[in-house]
Amino acid sequence: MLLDYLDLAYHNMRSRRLRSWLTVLGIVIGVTAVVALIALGQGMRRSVEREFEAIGYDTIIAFPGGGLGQGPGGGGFFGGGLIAQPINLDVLRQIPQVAQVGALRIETAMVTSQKMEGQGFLRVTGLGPGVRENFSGYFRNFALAAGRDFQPDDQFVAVLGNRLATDLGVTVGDEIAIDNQSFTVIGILQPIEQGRGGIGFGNINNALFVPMKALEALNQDEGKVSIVLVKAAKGAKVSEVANRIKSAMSRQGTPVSTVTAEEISQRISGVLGGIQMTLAAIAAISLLVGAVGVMNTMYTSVLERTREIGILKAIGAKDRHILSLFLIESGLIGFFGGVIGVLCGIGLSVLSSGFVARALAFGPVGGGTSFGAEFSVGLIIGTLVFSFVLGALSGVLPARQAAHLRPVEALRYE
Amino acid sequence: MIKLENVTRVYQMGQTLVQALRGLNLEIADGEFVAIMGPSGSGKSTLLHLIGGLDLPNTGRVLLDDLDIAQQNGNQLAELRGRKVGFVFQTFNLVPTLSALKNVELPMIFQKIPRKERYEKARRLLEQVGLGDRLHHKPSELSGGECQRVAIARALANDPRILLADEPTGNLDAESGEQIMQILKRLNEEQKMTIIVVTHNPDVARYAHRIIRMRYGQIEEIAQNTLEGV
Repeated sequence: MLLDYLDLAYHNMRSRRLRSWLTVLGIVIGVTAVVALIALGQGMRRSVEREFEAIGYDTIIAFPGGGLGQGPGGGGFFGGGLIAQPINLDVLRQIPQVAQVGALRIETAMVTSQKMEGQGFLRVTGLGPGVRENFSGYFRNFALAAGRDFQPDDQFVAVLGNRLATDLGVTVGDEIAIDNQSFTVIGILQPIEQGRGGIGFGNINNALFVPMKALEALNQDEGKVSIVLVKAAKGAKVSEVANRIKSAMSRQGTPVSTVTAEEISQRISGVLGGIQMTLAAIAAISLLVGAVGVMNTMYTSVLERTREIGILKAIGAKDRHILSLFLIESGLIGFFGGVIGVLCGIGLSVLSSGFVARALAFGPVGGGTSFGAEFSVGLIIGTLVFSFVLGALSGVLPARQAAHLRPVEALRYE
Repeated sequence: MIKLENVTRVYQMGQTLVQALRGLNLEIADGEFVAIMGPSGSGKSTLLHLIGGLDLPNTGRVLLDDLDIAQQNGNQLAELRGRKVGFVFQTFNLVPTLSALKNVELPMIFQKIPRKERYEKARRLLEQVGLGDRLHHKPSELSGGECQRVAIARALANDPRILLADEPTGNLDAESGEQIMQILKRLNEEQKMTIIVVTHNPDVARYAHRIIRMRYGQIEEIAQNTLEGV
C-alpha cells in the first residue's frame, strides 16, 4: 500500500517537474545550511578535543599564585603574565596518585645576537629536568629542524623557534646573549603553521627555550616555577589529583590553581556548542521558509487536482487514502530536499573547513591539530527523517482540505 | 435492487436554491439496462450520483439492496463506491499522469488487492475492451474512444454489480460511441450487470430495456423499449 502511494506521489511530482524541483530546492537550502553548520561545529569540537587528547587528559597544569588569568601580568594562562614563584615540587611528587612532575619557568629577558644589531625583550622558557621527555604531548610541536635537543648537563645553551632564529640571524653553533650571558644555539625548531604553539610559550616559531638552571643562574635564585605539569597515575581520577595538588600546595603556603585538559575542553566545547546551536537555529529559519514553500505547493496542488480527487473518491478512495496520498507527496518533497541538502551540506562544510581551520588557528587554543568537518551517521539519518517529517507536516493542512472535499463537488470542479 | 423513495435533492447555486429532484420514486431491478433521458437540469445526473453514493439526498431514501445510502458515513459510502458500483463519465475522468494500466489498477489499490493480482486483472480488463496493446499509454496518448474504454475497464476493476454511466458517448464520434454501447450491452447480457446510462442521445437509449424520461426533477414517463438494441 505504502509503495503504491509512493509510486502515485512520485508520478505526480514528475508531472509537475519544475514546481516540484523548486519546492525541493527550498528545503535543500535550509537543510544544506543546517547540515553544514552542524558538521563544522562538530568538527570544531572534535578539533578542540584532539588538542587536549594530544596534551593528554591525564595531565594537570598548575599555576603558582593566582594563575589562570589573575596573575600580575593579567595575560591569562594562554598568553603571558606567568610570574615565576617558588614551588616545592617534591611535595607534589609525594602525592601517591602523581606519576610525573615537570616544571617550566617563563621569564622575559633582553636578547641580542652578535649578527644583528639592536636588542629585544623576549620570552624565555626554561625547561625543568625531564619535562620534555615526560610531557611529550605538551611539547608535541617541539620538533628540531637542525642541531640537537637538550642534554642533562647543558646549561647556557638555547633552542630557538624557526622565525626567531631567522630574526636573530643565527644558526646552530652561533652565540646569542640573554641578559648579557652568552648562550650557544644548539638547535632550531621546525617551522609550524602560524598560530600553533602551546600553553605557556605562545607561538612556537618565536619561542626561545633554555634549561631551567640557566634561568636560575641568570636570576640568581632557585626553585621558582611558572607552570607545573603533573601527570596523574594510571587509573587515578584526574580531578581528584588536581584537588590534592591544590590542598597540598596551600598547606605549603604556595597556593596554585589548576586546569585539566578535560576541564578546558569541556569549557570550550560548551561555548562552541552554544555558538553552534545559535547558528543552527538561524539556519533552521531558512528551513521553515522551505516548509512554507512546501505548504504553498501542496495547496496549489490540491486546487489543481480537485477534480482528480473527486475521481479518486468516485472509484472508492476514502478520506484517509487521499490524506495519505498528499502527506506522502509532501513528505517525499521534504525527503528529496533532505537527501540533496545533506549532500550539499557535506560538500559545503568540506569546502569551507579550510577557511574555518585558518580562523581557528588564531583562536584561544592555537589550533594545534588539523581541522575537518565531522559528519555523524546520526546527523545524516536524523536530517533525512526530519526533512521527511517536516515535508509531511507542511502538507497536513492541504491534505486535510483535499481529503474532506465532497466527491460530487470535486468532480464538478473545472 | 435499486429503490428510490420520495427523494429530494436541493442545491445552493450562489444565491438561488436549485431543486434538482422533487420527490422522486423509482425501482430498478438487478440486471436491468436503464436509460435516463431528459433536458439539461432535469436532475438526471443528480439521480445517478445518488444511486452511486457520490451524493446524498436531502429527504427520502435511496436503497441499494436494502442498504439506505443516506444512512451511510463517508467511509461506508467510499466502500460502496469502491465495491458495488462503477462510474463512467462523459469526460472519461482518467488520472492524466498515470498509464491506462495504472488507471485501471487504481480502484484495486484502494481495495488493497495484491500488486500481482491487480496487474493481471487490469491487463485482462483492458484486453477485454480491446486495449491490450495500449497498456502503458497515458490518457493524452489515447483517442477519446480509447479513453472511454479505459474508463469502463476501470469501472469494472472491483467487479461491481452496477455500472453507472453519465453521457458515456457524449464526447465521442458515432463509431466510438457505438463501440462503447456494445461493450455495455455485452456486460449487461453476459454478466447480468445492472446498467444505468444517462444520455441525451436516442441512439444510446435504444440499448436500454427501459427509458426513464425526466423533467423538473421528476419522472415524466417510463417507457419499455421495444426496439431494444436494434
